[in-house]
Formats: sequence, structure tokens, C-alpha cells
Amino acid sequence: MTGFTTVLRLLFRRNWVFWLIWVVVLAMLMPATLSQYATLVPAGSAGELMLEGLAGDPTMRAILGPPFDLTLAGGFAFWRVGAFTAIAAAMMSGLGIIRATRAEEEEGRIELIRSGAVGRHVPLAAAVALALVWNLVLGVAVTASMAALTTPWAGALASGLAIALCGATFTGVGAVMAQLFTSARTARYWTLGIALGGLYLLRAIVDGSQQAGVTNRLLDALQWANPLSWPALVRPYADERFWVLLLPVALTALLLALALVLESRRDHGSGIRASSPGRAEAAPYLSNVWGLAWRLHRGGVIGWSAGMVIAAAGIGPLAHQVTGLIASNSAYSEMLRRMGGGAEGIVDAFYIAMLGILVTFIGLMGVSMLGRLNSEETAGHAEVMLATATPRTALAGSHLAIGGGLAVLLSLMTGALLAVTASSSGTWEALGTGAAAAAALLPGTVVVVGLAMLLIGWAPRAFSIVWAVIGWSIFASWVGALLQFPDWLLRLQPWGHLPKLPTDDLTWSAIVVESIIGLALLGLGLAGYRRRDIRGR
Amino acid sequence: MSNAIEITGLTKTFGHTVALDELDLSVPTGQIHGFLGPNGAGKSTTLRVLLGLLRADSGTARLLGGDPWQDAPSLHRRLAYVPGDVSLWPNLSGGEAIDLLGRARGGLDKARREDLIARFDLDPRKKGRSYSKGNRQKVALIAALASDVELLLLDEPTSGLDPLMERVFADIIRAEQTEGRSVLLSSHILSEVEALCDHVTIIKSGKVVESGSLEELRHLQRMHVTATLRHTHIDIDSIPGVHDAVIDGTRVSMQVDAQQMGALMSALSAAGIETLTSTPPTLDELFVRHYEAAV
Repeated sequence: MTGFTTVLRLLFRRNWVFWLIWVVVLAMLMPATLSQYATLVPAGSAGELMLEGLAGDPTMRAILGPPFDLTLAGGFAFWRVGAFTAIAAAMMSGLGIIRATRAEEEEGRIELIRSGAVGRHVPLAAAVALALVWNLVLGVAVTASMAALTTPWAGALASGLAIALCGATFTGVGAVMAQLFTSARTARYWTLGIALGGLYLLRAIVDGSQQAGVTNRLLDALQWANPLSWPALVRPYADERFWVLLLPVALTALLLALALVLESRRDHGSGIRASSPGRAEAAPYLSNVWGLAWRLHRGGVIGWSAGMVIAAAGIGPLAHQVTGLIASNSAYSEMLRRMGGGAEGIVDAFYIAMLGILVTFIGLMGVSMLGRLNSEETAGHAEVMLATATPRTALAGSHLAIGGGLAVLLSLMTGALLAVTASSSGTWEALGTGAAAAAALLPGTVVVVGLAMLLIGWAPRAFSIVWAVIGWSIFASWVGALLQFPDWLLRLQPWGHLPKLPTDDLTWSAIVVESIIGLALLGLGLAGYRRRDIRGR
Repeated sequence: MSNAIEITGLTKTFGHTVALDELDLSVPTGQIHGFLGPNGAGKSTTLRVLLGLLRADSGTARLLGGDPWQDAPSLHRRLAYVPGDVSLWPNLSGGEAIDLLGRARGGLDKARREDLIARFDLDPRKKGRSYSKGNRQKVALIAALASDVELLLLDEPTSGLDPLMERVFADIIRAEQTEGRSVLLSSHILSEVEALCDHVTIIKSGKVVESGSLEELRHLQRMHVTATLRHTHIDIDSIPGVHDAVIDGTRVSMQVDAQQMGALMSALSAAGIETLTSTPPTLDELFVRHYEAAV
């Protein structure tokens, strides 16, 4: 393990911002929810009744996991956001470990490190150590803040450990995937899309099918087999079972050992599976930037489209359960109304809130696809293409057309699909109103995509500003209402001021103004891209 | 005949760094022009200005009779470029990259493509991420050479190629010239430029240090002379233009300024020449001398 501390220090320097932001945001979720407990759950019998309803509701169980003791503020906070924090910690760890291992190897930086006096496994070991330490920091922060807010220390400790160990488990998953696949993109896809996404879906189905007081051997077994169920099975604030934590500890150790064995068996720069040979000649479509952009985005187009269909079709039907559940709780319905742009009807509020979140994610997709224009430049591919008879506008336009075009299509489709599945009758009429509601939000998407283009055109190194804008939008629409942000703050985002159909009247002022701003940003960005220097490798 | 490349007073700065400082360069049509300089001299920056990737601060550049910035896409149909550090799309095969780049330039000659793949011994089915540096270089070279263009802009094209492939490359470039194509070949590998180019421009810190045909440059330089003499009672150091003379018994060796060759020969004949060799300076010597002078 020669050179371990040197590599550790290097990795820390390169990644501390990434980890710090994740850890700070995740550490806030439980204490923030705890502070809202008194508002959300009224004292006395009304509160108990509501909690009983919540606990018995299969949809809630599917989304959040099984509740154990909701009468304690800590138990409620863990059920509401604790398990979610654990899943987000898993996401953070998977991204973090791949970023420090396979992504660096792909860029050729690990080769430099390993050519020094550094052992074969040192870069992986250092990256793992760093990820585990940051998860520990997250666990300690959760435990300390929950204990400081006067919840029982055992529950606080169990919450912190369960969250940190869920992150540790996915440090292991990410480390294994990083050995298996030669590209960081593919490793990320398998860690988050297949492993984390698949386990979450399984957990949702299993938890949603379980009924209180009924034992089902198969469902129990499936629950115990799922690492994402373990945080809940530790039962923080509900007669803690600390021994359950041995499961993630053992699995993490196993996965990390596997990653090390795999690393010994492969060549530097390669994966375990040799990449299959490609075509000797290009297909006819691959003859200009448009064909190239399609080839580069093909996987993303299919993945995002499928994901949005599943999300819209899966979330829509929840509207019915939400109605029954929330009507009995004024604090909850008030929160949902605020998320849903102040709609009176609960179903409408739910629809608007969900559509808002999905449209924001679609905006994120559009920006990440346009961001490819930027990464193609830093990779040196833009230089090669622009040395052919390719105008700059065509190069920018190819990514813009796919990212922007898909964002428009998916928004309309998601709006329509969500409306149809949310409406009890499932009429064709809902198709039109749903698409219209989504269309009213499109100017916001144009603004973020325009902002991304502006940054690429004038300040490509500052591209991450657009990620901050989208991150804030997601945060504001998802947690802002829960944290009782004032209305003006909730609306301070690209989609915030647009009319929320069908509740709001179709007022054109915001739509027109934002469309003009968005298109102006796009035009300015393209003009900048045409006149600036193109960076090489 | 018009010039394929005509650059006058070209200046380009990046922040406080001056990359090109009043650079002049002209490449007549049909010439293989060597563009020599150490790393960071501004060779790549010049090529990237010629490709319209960078905008010059001042000075003019003409390329195939057009403006490299304004007319970039249409000019690029008539030229091909090989970057110094070739980066390929990781999930496109080499064959796909060759076709994509060739077609985006306006089409490529299929027979020539196959011929080049065979001569460079490239496996076109491998994915971009699994190629070595040399193989990535071959992909870019094949993509550039398979098109019928008037001008080739090559930025250190043989870095990463093994000696066998370097020879293949040299053969192909010579054939290109006989077909009337112009080539601007940037390099710091002197033997390569010496073997291929008839004209050379040497730059350092964004400025031209020397430019001309190889003969003209050699004319200014010292020849290396070795001789075996019958009589050794000769005062070599008194002959004008002679430097670094070494006498070892009857054997003498020295450097002599090219224009003083006649004076040296008469002195040596008087001492009775038994053997005599005279070699022109290698480009290495020219190069090292320029660096030393500029330091």
C-alpha cells in the first residue's frame, strides 16, 4: 500500500466539493423534517387517526417504506425522509466512487498515478476509504443533529448508522461496477439505473403489497433480501435492532473484496468483459454531425423516454390514494396545495406538483444532452469535427435539436399520460388538458436550455451554474413546501411563475416573457459559440 | 502559382501568454513544408488558426485563397487535418470514425480507404477506447488521406507510430506531393522533416527563426570536414571560418563556415590530402544551434 496517503490526499482535493454538498444537503433532511413534526401531525386523537391512516396506506408504504412507530417525532422523521436519505446516500456513494475510480482511469489520470511509487490497488483502496469516511461523516451528522433535537439517542444512532451503511453498501456496488465496465457512463448506469433503481422498485412493490398484521413468508424474505429495506428493518426509534446493521457491514465487505479481486484480474484501462468489436464501416446515417449526435444520444433518448413513461404511468394512479389520505389532514393538504401551485382540489394539486417535478427532471435531461456539446469540446472531438466541412451552428444545433426536441416531446407526453392515469375515468379529454398543462410549462424548459447554451457560448467553464439552477428548482419544488418556504421563494425558479393549468387561468404574460427570454438566451449563446475560440485537448 | 497558405504578421494571445508573435509563413501550392519548433512554440496554435478554430488577434491568414475564419466549412472540403493528440469517440469503431470524418468532409474514396487500412495495418473494428495512441493516430491519418483534398495540415502526425509505420507514412506523403497536393507538416522530429520536406520554417516562442529551402538553410551553416593529411605541419586554426578543429596525428576534423570552404580546401591540398569527407549539417545541428542562440 505504498503511496496510499499521497493518493488519498490527491483524491480528497479533487472531490471534496462533490462530497461536501451531498453530505450537507442529506444531513439536513431528517432534522428539517423533525422540526415540522408539530405542524404536520396535530396533537391528540386527530393526529393519531391520521398516523393510523398513513401507516395503513399501501401507496405510502410503497413510496416511503414500512412505518413502525410514527407517534414519536423521530420515528416519523425517519419514516418520512430517513429511508430516502439512505437511498440518496447510496446514490451519492455510487457516483462518488465511480468518479474517483473508473472516470479517472478513463481520463488516463490513474495511469499517471500508478506509474509512480503506488501499489496496484492503492487508487481503488483510497477512493473506497474516502467514500466510507464521507458516509461516516454523514452518519455522525445525522446522529448528532437528531440527538441534539432531543430525540432518543438510540434512535438517533440507529438512523445515522443505517444511512451511513446504506451508503457504504453502494460504495461497494459502485466499486464492483467500476471494475466490470470500461466506461464510467456505463458503470454509473448499472450502479444507479439497474442496481439502485431496480432494488428501489422491488422494495416499493414488496412494501406496497404487505399488509399490517398479515405475515407473508415470500414478501418477508424479499424484504430481508433487499439492502434498501435494511435501514427500515433496523427500526430506528421503534425498539432498535442494531444487529440488522451487520447485514450491510457484511455485504459491503463482500463487495469490496470482490472489487479488489476483479481489479487484480483485469488489465489497466480495460474491464472484465472484453468490449465487443464494432462495425468495420459506418452505417449510412453516420455521415455528419446530425448522425453523430444521434449516435451519441441514442442510449439516453431511449432511457429517458422509457423512464418518463414509467414514472408518469406509475405516479398518476397514486392520485386516488392521496385523495383519501390527505383530505383528513389539513397540514398535509396545505403542503400539497403549496407544492401544487395553490390548487383547491387535492387531485389537481397532486397533478400539478408531480408534473412540475417531472418537467424539471426533463429540463435536467435537456441540459445534460446539450452539455454534451461542451464535453465533446473538452474531449477534443469538436476540434476534429469542425476541421471537416461542419459549420459551428450545425455542431451546436445537433445537440440542441435532440436535447431540446426530446424535452418538448417528453414534457407533452408526460403531461398527457400523468393526466390520463390520474383522472379516475381515464377519459381522452384528460389527454388534451394534460398536454396543455405541460405545454404551459415549456417556456421554463426553454429558459434553462437557453441558459445552458449561453454559458457554452460565452463561459463554458462556468457551465455548472445551470446545474445549480436546476438543483435549486428540484429542491424548491420537492422540499420547499415541506420546509415552509415563503411563496415568493418557492416561485423563484424557471418554472415558478408560469401558469399552473388546469387550476390557474391561462395567462399569457409569463409564458410570452419567459419564451422571449429563453429564445434570446439561446440566440446569444449560439452567437457566442460562433465567435469564440474552440478549445482543443 | 498561388500560395496554399499565406500568413503575414499573425498574432494570437491567450490571456497574458503570447502564443503567436507577428508570425509569417507561406506555403506555395504543391510544396511539402516542414514546420519545426519545440513544444509550445506555437505550431498547433498556427494550425488551429488556419482551421478557423481560433480567431487571430491581428495579422492576416489566407488559406487556399479564402479566409480561414469566414469560409471555414467550405474551405474544409478542400483540406484534411490530423491533430497532434488524436482523441476518438470511445464507443465508435475506428472504421466508423474514418467514415464519419471522411463523409463530413464531403466524401472519401473507398478504394483508397481500404488500401490505407491495409498499408497501415489497422483493425477498423476495434472501438475507439481500446486503440493505442499509435492506432488512434492511424485512424486520423487514414481519415485525412482517404479524401481527395488539395491541402493536408498535419500536426506531429507520426507521434506514436512505430518506425515501420513512419516509413509507410513517408511513402504516402511523397506520393501525395507528386499528385500536386500541398502539405504543412508540423514536427519536432527532425529526421522526418529532413526526409520529406523541401522547405522548412523554424519557429520559437511564436516567432519565425528561419525559413527557406533546406539548401538555403544549409548554405548558412557549417560543414563538417574530416581529412587524413600527408604533412601535419599545418596551422589549421589560422584559416578563416574554421571552428572546433581537432588534430589527431595525421587525422584532422573541423567545422567550417560554408562560404570559407574554398580557402580550407587550398590549405588542405597544400598539406597533401589522402582522404577527405565532408558532410552537410543535419537538421538536428541547425535546430540545436537556433535554440542555443535564442536562449
